[in-house]
Amino acid sequence: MNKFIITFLLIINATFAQASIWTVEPNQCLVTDAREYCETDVIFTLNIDLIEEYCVFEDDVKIGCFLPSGSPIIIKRKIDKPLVFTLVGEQGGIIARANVDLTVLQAQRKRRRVKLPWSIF
Amino acid sequence: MKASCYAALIYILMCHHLSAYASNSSDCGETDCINVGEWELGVAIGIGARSNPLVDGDVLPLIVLPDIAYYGESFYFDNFEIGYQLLPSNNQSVEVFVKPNTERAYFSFWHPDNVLLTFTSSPLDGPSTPTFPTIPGVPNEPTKPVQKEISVDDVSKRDWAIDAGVRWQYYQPSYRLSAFINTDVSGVYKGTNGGVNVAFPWRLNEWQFTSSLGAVYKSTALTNYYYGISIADTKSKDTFQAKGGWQYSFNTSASYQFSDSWQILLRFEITQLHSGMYNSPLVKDKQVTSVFSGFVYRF
Repeated sequence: MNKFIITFLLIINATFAQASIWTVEPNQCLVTDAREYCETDVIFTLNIDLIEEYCVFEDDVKIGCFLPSGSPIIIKRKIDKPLVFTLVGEQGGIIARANVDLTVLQAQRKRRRVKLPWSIF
Repeated sequence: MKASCYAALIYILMCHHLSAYASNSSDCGETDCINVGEWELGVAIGIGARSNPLVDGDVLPLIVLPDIAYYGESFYFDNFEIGYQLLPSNNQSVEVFVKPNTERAYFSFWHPDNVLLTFTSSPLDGPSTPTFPTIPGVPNEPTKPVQKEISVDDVSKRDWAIDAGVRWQYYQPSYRLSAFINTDVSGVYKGTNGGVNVAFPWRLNEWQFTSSLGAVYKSTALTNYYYGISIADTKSKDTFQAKGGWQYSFNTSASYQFSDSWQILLRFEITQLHSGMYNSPLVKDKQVTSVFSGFVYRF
């Protein structure tokens, strides 16, 4: 009955993609109700030497590029739907992909009411 | 009433246009979804009333109103309707049910809708006798046959009835269409009623609106049982045979949730009665209007 959203989270194993070119953590947001979501830092770590510029995109939006120092990219994200990130090289080619999934635990089964609320009026 | 029907239709179409921008989910929303196996309990406290079209009928106060529902896998209880849902799918359903017929509410003060408070007058409670200035030779209500009015206090008792029915519903993100037919299974009025309804939910910022248009056919048996005048009702020989017909209604509600458990609720409804009913000497109004404004607490 409580419709307001509680932040939950999180997890878990990092995403190892494309022979561990990069790591994305977490790779999953666990909630107990479909109306809940996670609010967390998503950390992108490059596991190879920086021989060209690598940038991270979410859909077609650039989130950031790895610096020569090799430090990870950290963004704060609300995860209320599955996210897909891509690692793009200098020439624009996609090097790797990583998903952050939204998983609903023990989803409470719902039904649509056959009458609108307050139909007793 | 035609003008008000057109106005209601234009209003709904405008709202529908807005909803194209405001609503993009095909799932049931927070307002019409319920967790299986859990009671949904809400109480609305405020001020409101439903007009009573009967001569000397008490206005029906709307002060404290419950919203009670429980849904199992197929069985449900929803505001005094008990039913079983057949063939549920994402966008349509068929249900069979039993529920009290509310026609009897006009004849008594008590009704599940009402709270036991005595209202002596209300803006919705029209005078039982016309107060318009009388022009000699010109009747006050030219569309209604000149007939002596009969007070609800002077007629024999009408009983509550139980209807059994079947309803088909079709759901889309921007509207909800339903058609139903009910029949009296309690042997009280020995008739049927049925109709169609289309509801348009839409949002504007934090406000949730629902507007609907409905048409209900009430059979001659139903209308005549409640609004006909028989020799049991009058000492004279002036009886009245009420006839079946279509009643049209417009309903709109708005709610604003301002905390986890509290929301504001506003409702308005108008129903145009059919001539076979409002021509009865027992009936003084051609419309029934219902308004409510108050606060809702969800447990």
